[in-house]
Amino acid sequence: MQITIDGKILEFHKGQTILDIARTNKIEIPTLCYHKMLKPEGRCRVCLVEANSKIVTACDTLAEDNMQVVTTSERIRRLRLEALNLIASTVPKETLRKENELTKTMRLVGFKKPTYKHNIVKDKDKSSAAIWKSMDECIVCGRCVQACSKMQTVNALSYMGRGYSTIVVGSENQPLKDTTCVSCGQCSLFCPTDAITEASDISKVEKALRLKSKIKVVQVAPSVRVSVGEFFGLEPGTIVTGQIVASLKKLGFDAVFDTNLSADLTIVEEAKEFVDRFKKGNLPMFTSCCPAWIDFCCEFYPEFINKLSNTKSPQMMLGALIKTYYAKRLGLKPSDIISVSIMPCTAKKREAKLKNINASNVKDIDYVLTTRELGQWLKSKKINPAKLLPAEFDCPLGESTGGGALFGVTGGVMEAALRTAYFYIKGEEMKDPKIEPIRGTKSLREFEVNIGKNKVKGAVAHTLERAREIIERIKKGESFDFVEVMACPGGCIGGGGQPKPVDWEAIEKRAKAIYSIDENKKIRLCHQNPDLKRVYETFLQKPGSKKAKALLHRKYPKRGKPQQQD
Amino acid sequence: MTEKKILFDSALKGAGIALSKTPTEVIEVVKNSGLRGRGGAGFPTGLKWEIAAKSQGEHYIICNADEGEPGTFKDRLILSTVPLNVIEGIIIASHAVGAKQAYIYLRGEYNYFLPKIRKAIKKARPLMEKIELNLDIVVGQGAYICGEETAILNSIEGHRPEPRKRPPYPAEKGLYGSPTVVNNVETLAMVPLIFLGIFDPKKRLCSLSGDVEKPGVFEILEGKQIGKILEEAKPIGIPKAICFGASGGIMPYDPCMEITEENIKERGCFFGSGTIIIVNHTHSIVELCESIQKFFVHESCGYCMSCREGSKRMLEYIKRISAGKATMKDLNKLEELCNFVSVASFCALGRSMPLHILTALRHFREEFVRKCR
Repeated sequence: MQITIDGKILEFHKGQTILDIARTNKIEIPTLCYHKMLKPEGRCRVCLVEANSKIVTACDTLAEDNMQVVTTSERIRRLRLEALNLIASTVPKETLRKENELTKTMRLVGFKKPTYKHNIVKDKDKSSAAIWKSMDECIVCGRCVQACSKMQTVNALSYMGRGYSTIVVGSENQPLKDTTCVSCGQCSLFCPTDAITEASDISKVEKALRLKSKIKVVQVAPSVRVSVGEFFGLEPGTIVTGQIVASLKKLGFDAVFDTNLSADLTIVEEAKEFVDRFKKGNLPMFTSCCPAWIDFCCEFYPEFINKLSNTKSPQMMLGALIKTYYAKRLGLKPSDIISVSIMPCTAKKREAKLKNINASNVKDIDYVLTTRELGQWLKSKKINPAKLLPAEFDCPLGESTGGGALFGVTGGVMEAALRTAYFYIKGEEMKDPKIEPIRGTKSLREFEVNIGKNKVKGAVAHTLERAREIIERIKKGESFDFVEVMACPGGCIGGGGQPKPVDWEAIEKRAKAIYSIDENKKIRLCHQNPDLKRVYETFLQKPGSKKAKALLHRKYPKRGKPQQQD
Repeated sequence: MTEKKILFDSALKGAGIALSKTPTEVIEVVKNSGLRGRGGAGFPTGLKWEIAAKSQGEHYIICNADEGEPGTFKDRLILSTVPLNVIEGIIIASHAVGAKQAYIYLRGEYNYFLPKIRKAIKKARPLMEKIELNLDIVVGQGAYICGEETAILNSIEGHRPEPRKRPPYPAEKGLYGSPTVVNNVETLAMVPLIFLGIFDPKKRLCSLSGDVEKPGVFEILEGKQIGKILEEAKPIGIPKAICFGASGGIMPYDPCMEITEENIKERGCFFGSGTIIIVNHTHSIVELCESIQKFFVHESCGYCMSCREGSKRMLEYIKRISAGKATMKDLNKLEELCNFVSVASFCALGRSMPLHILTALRHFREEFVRKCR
């Protein structure tokens, strides 16, 4: 079939929209509410074009054979300007000065400044430990609600009011903390303005850094090192591990530790748990490193809580080691250490504040910053990591393996855990540590791996819609041994705290970078981590020991999301 | 207001004849009758049924009784005088497209009709059992947008009443993704009359109100002069303009104008649901526009930006004009905004919203100009 766009005759196939065809042929049509990873809803009316002399939105209008489309004409330009005039007048002037998707579209269309008066919407929600919502900056593009209800099937956000008083609220107009919100932060990632953001902790961390009496320690998650460079003009997937360490030192931290190490630790403990459960029963085992997934399971499928692995996430494991093992080595009290973590995730903010999660008598993790917050902070301090000399992570919690690095990507936990489980079951190492069927970008992947005579049937799911699908299938009688769930698309590399605007190509590039980190590591099996071996020898004894259970494992509530500390 | 019976009461006879025919024959008869939708868009009813019948899946019939257009009350008269005709229409439509489930989507404010409608359903039960039809009544919650045929689907499914993208049209993919026929009350009430052989496509019901002594529902023959109709309703004062409901536009009163779709369309207006509001010399057109616009600001669903923000800004302009604070520049900007909203909005409601201002500016521009500085 053929369509003519701006005089160019183009081929297309059934089901393609005008925008799809234009984008594949590099014809620019400005959009705002449209996002490639979501279903087009046609709310913002910016992508107007003329199709067969009728004005339509390009994002949701299916192309027809012999359609005549005009994307640039004086009439179209004026209509788009009027659309942006109406949209831009709904947000405060400060938002129009910031760099975001709205201002990007404004530049593209050539729109300067709204002529209508801005009416302030006083609706702010800072109840959640992870996500803040300020409706004055909202343009009701609908992306957050769609991400929450369709991609994550959580339905924590909905609309309230009608006409111009339509706003996005926590479902049934409850504060976000009282909804089913699992803190995944996808809403904040898709927000084209800053109406929904992470709960910002930058100022608190800055204040804490000024305390002379404390030792300030920070950890960096596996997926942050492949994405934070994007704030400084680097390509998605540029690995800036050493530069992050150097810039964190410049910000004033005393020690920079690697969450990859505790990812290794998680694998060692989780693989041990899996092997035990594989022998004794109580399968499938679900991974437990994604706090949004834990919240989701506890909230929507409490009958599956006993199937969750009870190992803590890498963030909380390193937090536990910092306030116990590290404090003991330095001869300090846990309260003498301020422990900060840099995470790709908003749910980690809530996780750090949970009841019964701490190994020490104080909070194991004091503050959590997202990748976005780190980028923002570094920019405000005029530190450009791209221009710094790389530095090394600090002893004694700085060494990591390729397996730990994989935590940043969907399927990574599964792959690393199976490498170690193989060793536990067979007593020998895997010849080729790459397990191909686990990798990929499909949102639900199933596979079988042979370990000696045993067959392990596993599944990897990312986005909670797929998690729900796999649980429903298990409920109907299908059996799996090991299931990995990551709440965000692509895993942590597509996390709710990652750089905006998100797009699938960037996520794929970050995934490639993560796999290259794994491949370039001399040690790729988590249980061979030399730093960890030392931790076990001098402190934890052996995987699954009483001490390890006390410090590195957690308990879940009987039903409902784990509760926060006040 | 008098509620006289103007429609013929079919008393299950029409449906009885229709059920003795095959579905294809029924569709053929309705197609040949020339019946068009009476809710506004005027889509040929038989064709709609045929499209739905040919689409795969479970079929649904929805009777749209969410009569929310200001100045429109013909459906109310039908429901209060001949509710059985409507039920018969639903039964015939269900038979034609093969639906086993039908809904009456009743405007919330009309809930006092519930006993009457239930009684009519009870009377029609034997016929319904014959075609295994289940008929439920859904009472709306008061949103104007629910009269839009896709928003009605969302409302019945329990979602926020927002319009859906068309195509796919409800007849292909409607309620729960299945082919669905959405017909207006008047349309369905006409169906049994077709089978009794007394249906005349040139006759339609018209809700007449405004500055008249005897407002009410009139059955008018296409081509009748508006002055003749007004003789019956007895105007108060000197009629100046006719307003065709909130979304139908405003045009100057001309007693000799014959009421036909074409004549009204020629003047930029839209007869749609058969609403005539007479406006006399004591009213200012600007004020009329202001009050209509207030209605739209209140009833915009908020789905698309153009209607959501546009309605509010349009009202701001009109208020400024009405208060005598606007300039000619404002008036031009208002017109430009109206033109934007009328092409850029997501649904038919949004696109028809500026019609009253655009037609008022076309026919009564001097009233606006006089108020501008």
